[in-house]
Amino acid sequence: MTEDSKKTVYTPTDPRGLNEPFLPVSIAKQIDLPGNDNVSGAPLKVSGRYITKEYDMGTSRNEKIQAILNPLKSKKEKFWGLKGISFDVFEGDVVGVVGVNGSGKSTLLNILSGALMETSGRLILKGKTSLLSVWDGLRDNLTGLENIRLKSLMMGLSNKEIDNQINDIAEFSELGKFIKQPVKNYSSGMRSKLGFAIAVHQNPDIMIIDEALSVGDQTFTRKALNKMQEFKAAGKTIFFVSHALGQIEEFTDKTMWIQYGELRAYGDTATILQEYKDWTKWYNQLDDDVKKSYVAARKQAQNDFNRTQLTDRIVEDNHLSDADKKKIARDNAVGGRLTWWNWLLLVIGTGIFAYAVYLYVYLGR
Amino acid sequence: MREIWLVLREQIKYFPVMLRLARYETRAKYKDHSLGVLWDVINPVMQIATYWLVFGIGLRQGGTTDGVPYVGWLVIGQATWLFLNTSFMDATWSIRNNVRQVSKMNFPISIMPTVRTWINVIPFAITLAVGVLIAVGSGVHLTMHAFQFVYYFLAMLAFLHALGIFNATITVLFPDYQQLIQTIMRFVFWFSGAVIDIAAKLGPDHARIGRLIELNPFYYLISGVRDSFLSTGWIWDHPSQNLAFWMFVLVVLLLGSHLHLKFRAYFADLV
Repeated sequence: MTEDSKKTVYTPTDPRGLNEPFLPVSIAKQIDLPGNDNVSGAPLKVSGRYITKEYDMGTSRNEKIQAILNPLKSKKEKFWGLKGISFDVFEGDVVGVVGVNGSGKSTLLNILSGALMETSGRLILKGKTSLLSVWDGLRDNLTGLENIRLKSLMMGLSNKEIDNQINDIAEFSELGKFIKQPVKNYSSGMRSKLGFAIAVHQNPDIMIIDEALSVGDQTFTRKALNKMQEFKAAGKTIFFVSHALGQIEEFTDKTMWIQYGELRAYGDTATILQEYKDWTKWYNQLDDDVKKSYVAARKQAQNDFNRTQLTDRIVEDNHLSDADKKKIARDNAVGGRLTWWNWLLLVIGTGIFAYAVYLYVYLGR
Repeated sequence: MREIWLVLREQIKYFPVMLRLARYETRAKYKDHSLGVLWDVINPVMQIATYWLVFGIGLRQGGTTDGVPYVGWLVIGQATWLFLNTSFMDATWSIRNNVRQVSKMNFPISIMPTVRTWINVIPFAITLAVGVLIAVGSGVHLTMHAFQFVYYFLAMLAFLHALGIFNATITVLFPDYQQLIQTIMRFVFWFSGAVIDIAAKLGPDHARIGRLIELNPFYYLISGVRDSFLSTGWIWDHPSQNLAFWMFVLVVLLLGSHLHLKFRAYFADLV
């Protein structure tokens, strides 16, 4: 980086104005990224095509509901958390996900786990997914043991099955006597240990770990990573989000780098992490005001993104048939509308109701 | 129709999960109390006793309603009302309060309203048993009519499921709805016939208004349970009331199931 370009003020109208060393790949070419190669010939587990997530910046509930029902009509400000992400993940893959805060990692994981609905795109998941996130799903006033039972019940286990494994879970969590204390008294590390212990004992096919391991201490992290190795050996598919690059490096084979709603790179961990580190280094040496305008421009691009841009890019994709392109570019329908025979049923039902009311109230029958 | 079946199928498939969760929630609710689950019985029994004191002894000095002793009439109606009201109101917030907790696991959130119903079934069974005992003690004879209770219990489940899925979904979309329902239920209490026989109070001059009030589903269910244990009537004695009740349930069930399936992927976005 020369002294000259460092002084350049970054303007939103010129998104590529800086000599940024790594540029995101065109979204129509994402599937060509090396991460999508199926070297071992394992079966496909997760397949995403042009996954987008549009957040509505409308403040009132009515606006939000309107935006869900009529995404095209809503004039409110939009924010595209994901601008069309495509990838394939195969059985036994352990995929690291890196990126700066607010880049869309959590959005992607929430979509994978089914907590959020993608706005458009096609997502194929083969198997039971389980998302592990430190803060979710524990009830504060219940003890550790009670939380284990409640969560297991919700996952559909019978009391007998729970009795069989509750001690294993408690032991794995290393909470000792605290397992009988309400969770509200736990530290964040203890919570994450408990959450992790419960999640790994549910035996999911696809496991999604959202920064859960970075909270525990070193010894627990080691234990958790060993457990993950077991899963890996058993052929489970794992998504692993972390800011601890060391953990990603040690544990994953492939890495996705997501930034400002785009997939910038997807390939083997060593290469991607190097690129990410280089980018971080480049970013950190920028002047503060340049950083600010750089980020602002990227966020603006996420505001300005729209369906036309998405469709234009999908058209360039030469991996998809025309029918698929059309299907994928379309918004995911918000459930179906009521069919005509259901309308008919509603009308007839209401009619009979009214008639019965008339019979009873007026004629007293 | 498919919508109704899709939601119903989840209820059937996850029925054991539903019962286990209901049992566990009950235990968890009273875990810091030394009397524990007993409170689920003490509370309604005390409430019924209060109404009996106020309306039975204070205002009416005993007597009969529909030709049966008022005390039996009151306690059976009250037990049913408390079950319906509690389950109905709990179901209304059940999805909204739990979305955060369950949205990150593949949990069939449509069973949440019904879980609330099953939580209240045991207290209902006990208060109803107490009610029937009191009625029998005051001179009522149980007859074949009692078998009608099976029908009315199924009707209650259908009603609570339909209204539960509808109300819970609307509450996620518009939180104000829950407040509205709360206000409405305060009125419905007096129209439900739980403590006073509205039609009799209005007299024959206002028979039509009386009958209109009697058409509300709470009245239908409460008077049905009374018919069962006080032997005051058969199901087929009031065909147009049956028809109105089931059509109401059907229409709400269809709308509720449809809205639930339509919006459920977006619940986490909206809470």
